[in-house]
Amino acid sequence: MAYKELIMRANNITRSFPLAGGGKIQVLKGISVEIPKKSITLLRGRSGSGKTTLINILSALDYPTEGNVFFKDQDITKMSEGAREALRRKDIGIIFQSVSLIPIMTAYENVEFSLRLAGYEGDRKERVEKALRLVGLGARMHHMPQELSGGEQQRVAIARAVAHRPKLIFADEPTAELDSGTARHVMKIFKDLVEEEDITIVMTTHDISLMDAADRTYVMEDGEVVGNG
Amino acid sequence: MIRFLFQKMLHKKWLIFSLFIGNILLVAIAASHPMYKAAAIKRMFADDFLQFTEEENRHPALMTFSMSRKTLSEQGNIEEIQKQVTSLSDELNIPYEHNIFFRYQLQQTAVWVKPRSTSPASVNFSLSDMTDFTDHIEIIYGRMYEPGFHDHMIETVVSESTFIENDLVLDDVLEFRYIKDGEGENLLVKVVGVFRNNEEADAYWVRSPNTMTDNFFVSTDVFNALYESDWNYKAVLRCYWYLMLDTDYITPDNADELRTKTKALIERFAEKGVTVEEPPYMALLSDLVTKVNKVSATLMILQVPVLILLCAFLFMISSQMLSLEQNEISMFKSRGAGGFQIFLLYLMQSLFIAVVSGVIGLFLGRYMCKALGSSVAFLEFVSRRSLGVEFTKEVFLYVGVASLLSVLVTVLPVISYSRVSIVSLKRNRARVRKQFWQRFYLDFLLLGVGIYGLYNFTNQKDTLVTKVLNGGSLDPMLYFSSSIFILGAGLVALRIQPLIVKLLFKIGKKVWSPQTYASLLQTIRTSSKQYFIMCFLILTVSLGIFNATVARTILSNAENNTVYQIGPDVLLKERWKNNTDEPSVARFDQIQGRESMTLVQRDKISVDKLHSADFMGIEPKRFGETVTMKDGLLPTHFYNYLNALASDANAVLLSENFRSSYGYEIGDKVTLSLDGVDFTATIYGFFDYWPTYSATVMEKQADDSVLPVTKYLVVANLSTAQFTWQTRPYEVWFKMNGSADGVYNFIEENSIDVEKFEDRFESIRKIRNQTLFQGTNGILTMSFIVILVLCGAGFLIYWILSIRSRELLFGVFRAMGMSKGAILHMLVNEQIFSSLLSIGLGALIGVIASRNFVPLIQIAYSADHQSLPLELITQTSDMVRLFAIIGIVFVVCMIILSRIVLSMKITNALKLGED
Repeated sequence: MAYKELIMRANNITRSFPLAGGGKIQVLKGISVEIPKKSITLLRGRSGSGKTTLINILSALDYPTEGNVFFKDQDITKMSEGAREALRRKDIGIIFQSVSLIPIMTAYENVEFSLRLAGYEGDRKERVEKALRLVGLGARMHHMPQELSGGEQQRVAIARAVAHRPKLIFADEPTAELDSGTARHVMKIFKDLVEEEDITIVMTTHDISLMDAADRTYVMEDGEVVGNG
Repeated sequence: MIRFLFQKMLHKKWLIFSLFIGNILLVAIAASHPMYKAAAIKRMFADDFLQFTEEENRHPALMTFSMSRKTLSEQGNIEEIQKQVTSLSDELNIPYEHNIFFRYQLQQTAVWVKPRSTSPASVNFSLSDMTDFTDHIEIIYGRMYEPGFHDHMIETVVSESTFIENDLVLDDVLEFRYIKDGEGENLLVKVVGVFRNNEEADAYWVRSPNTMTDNFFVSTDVFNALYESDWNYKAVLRCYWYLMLDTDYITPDNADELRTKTKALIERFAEKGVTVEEPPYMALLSDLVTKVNKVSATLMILQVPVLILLCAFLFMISSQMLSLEQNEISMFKSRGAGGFQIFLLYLMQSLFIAVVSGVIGLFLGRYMCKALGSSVAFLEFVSRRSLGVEFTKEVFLYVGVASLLSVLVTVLPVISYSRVSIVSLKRNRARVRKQFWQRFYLDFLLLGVGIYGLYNFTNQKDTLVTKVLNGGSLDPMLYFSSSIFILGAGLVALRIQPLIVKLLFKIGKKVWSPQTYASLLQTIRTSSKQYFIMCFLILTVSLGIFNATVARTILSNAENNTVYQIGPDVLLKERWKNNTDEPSVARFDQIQGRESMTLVQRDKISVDKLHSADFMGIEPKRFGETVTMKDGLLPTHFYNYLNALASDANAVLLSENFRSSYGYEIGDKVTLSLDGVDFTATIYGFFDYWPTYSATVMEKQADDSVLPVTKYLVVANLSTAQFTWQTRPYEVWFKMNGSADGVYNFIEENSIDVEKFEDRFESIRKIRNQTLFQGTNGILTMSFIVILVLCGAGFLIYWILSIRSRELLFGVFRAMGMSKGAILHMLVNEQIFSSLLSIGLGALIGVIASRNFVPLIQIAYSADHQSLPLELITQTSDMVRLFAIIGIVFVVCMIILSRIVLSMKITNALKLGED
């Protein structure tokens, strides 16, 4: 694999949670990852291995107990809450494990809402329609989330995550609730996005079959990286 | 199952708490109705009896039986009647206060044993005896009689008037001409003492000792001994039985029975030759029953809306809880639990709440009832004699029905929810359904019915007045129409509200900030979920405003009219010995607290010898100083009229109907005649309103129907009237420094012979104490407070639940980069678009309903004395209270919401989604 410029770098991340009965549990035990630009990076591991916690920290939803996360050259762990919010609105897109569409908005409105939040300057309608077509939902864009299947909803979530042209997309188990066919289709969309939209994708999965789609894979076990490639 | 039930209830503690509140209030209001009614009616009875005693100076439950016995053959008869009278109390089932047997032997002639030169030759008197005589007198001269005979002599005491009237001296001895004692000697009577009643007002003295001029009281033993000897053959014996029932035991429940029985016994005694005077309660009770029916009907009608509102509240909370537990219910269903089992679970919950609330509500109801009894105006209470509140069977019945109702209302939504399985649930969520009332246009139908009712009643206003004057109460249909109108208008507003929000959304779709955009969409897309809370808010606010206006208006209207009809603060008219015997005016200077006074002559005169009219002779300057006239009644200030009158001794002011009916104009000369003496005056002005003057007065006709009578009034200078017609008895009008006490003291100290007396302070107190007004104020106040509580609780519950159920969504918003501030902003927007808009619409509906219905409703309260144009009173302080409570709830709500939102962790919120 050719050397690529890094878009994100995490150094020696630890994260512990206090336990109800006192004491604490260490979920991440000093993890370092490097995420090259225009790539798909996979965080693989069984549930409880700490991948969701890691992705929450990388996507500025949570703070590490120790360690730093650099987005380009900025340490996002030292940013103000407002700056982190702005980062999430503009530079980062997040796709959740479970469907996370806004139930009162149609597919179209869900996608458009992320553009509103990002303060997207261009023609919103054109951009929304393009994003939805990209995930193959051009025909059903005015349906409410409840009227869409699980796979369709997940695709809308992807469209919403990419519409405002973020630099980096985090996806936590985006294919977990999808059948294998749909899952492959989603991975195909991710690949296309990296190609066409100049986007970097970080995703977690426990599905080994998706490994060949990744540019880089970190295998996690019990809060530690046990292998990469 | 029971443990599960309690765990479930603990989990939803806020909702359960609300259910308790709603339930307790429902029971309390239901329980307070019969309690208050019973207590108020009891008080009405007591007040009426007391008033009768004060005004008539008679016992209201006095039955007088009288007969004369002339021959011996009637001997047995008296004893039999005595027995029957005594047993009446058992027969009527009411204990008596006094059972007095008063008997005397008609006038016998006696001569002085030692005649004085000044004394008449003989005296006629009646030996008398009365039950319990010695307990009700005190001796003022001499001593009490000793029983028994001493040397053919008996002892007697007499009243002051008997003593004076017959020129008696203590220790005078009189000899009967025809009555012998047991030994055949002429009987001697010695006057040993003079008595008077030992208490000023003692019901015992049906005939006051002052009015007895020939009764010589002897001891009962002596009377009986004589009675059995031969004297009684020669004298007519008068017997009176005074039976005074204890009015405390005369209640609405036995009133009818008492009347029927009394009627029957009067006939029965008449057949025996006993004359029976009809007791005053016969007439009093017939009036009271009408009044009581009116009061209880009115109280009932006024309570219905708030009861309905409470049921709606319970229904709302119950539905809300069910919708939160939908997942659990569906899960049960999927695991094979029958709909019946789920139903049973909720039934148990409702029953548990109903039973606990029933007990608490019962006692709260008693407290409310006491509060009702001490209300003097809307939201005003004073402590005064407390209402005797009892838990009767009826109270428990009402509590039972209310509890049943609450169980019904809370369980009702379960039936539909328990049918839903998890599959159909998901399907349902996707569908936006129109509310049933919108599908069938029920809202417009209700509004139409309300407007029709309004239109109908407005057209029948005169009939309404006549009905009330004949003892009718607030027409239930009228009050019902107003409630229907409010409900209909509220539901129509629910159609309008989403349109307003949609319009807002459309207007700025392109430019709305993300949070405004999201909140507008939230309001529009979840409107079906919000219908109930919006509807509830609209109804509470409109009903609150409506109730406050009704309460304020009826009381202030009744008071204003009374004040206007009385004229001054205090009016005193002395009875003159004859028309020329003018008492000194200077005496009135000593009245304490007097601010000013004026003389007013009121007579009936004829105008141009054609039209009869009322006449009022006034002293313009002093009249202006003494009487206040509300602004706006006359086209120019009241003083301008007085100045016009003062400018010319021969000026007169006439009521407007002289112009409209008879064609008089300003500047015309009119001849005023009284007792054949005329004087010619010049018309200086016309008026619609003048203190005490009503153009139309409702007068009861001989056949008890009520007809309007037109009144004409002439106002002239008193000096001119006195010059022409000489000084005639006049009224003295006083302006007092806040109390009429000075005048009362003056009347007492100077033993004024009062012909007419009015006291506005007392009149207003009386109005406020009237059960009808008091009950109305009390119930409307109570409803208002309940509305405030419900409004606050409903608002809070709805929003907290709404936030809780959207925590995941907020997590998503936060993950997408929205700040906490933006989310709070979004929530504030939502509140503005749904709740505050509802409150605004509710206020609008409340005002519209008040404008249109209050003038009709107040007829039930003051049809008999409506002189002034009706003024709708909306007291700012009530509105401030209403909106302050809403404001406080809003702020509390925001604080709670802020805390929820600020303490929310994105990662935790998002985990909620991972099921």
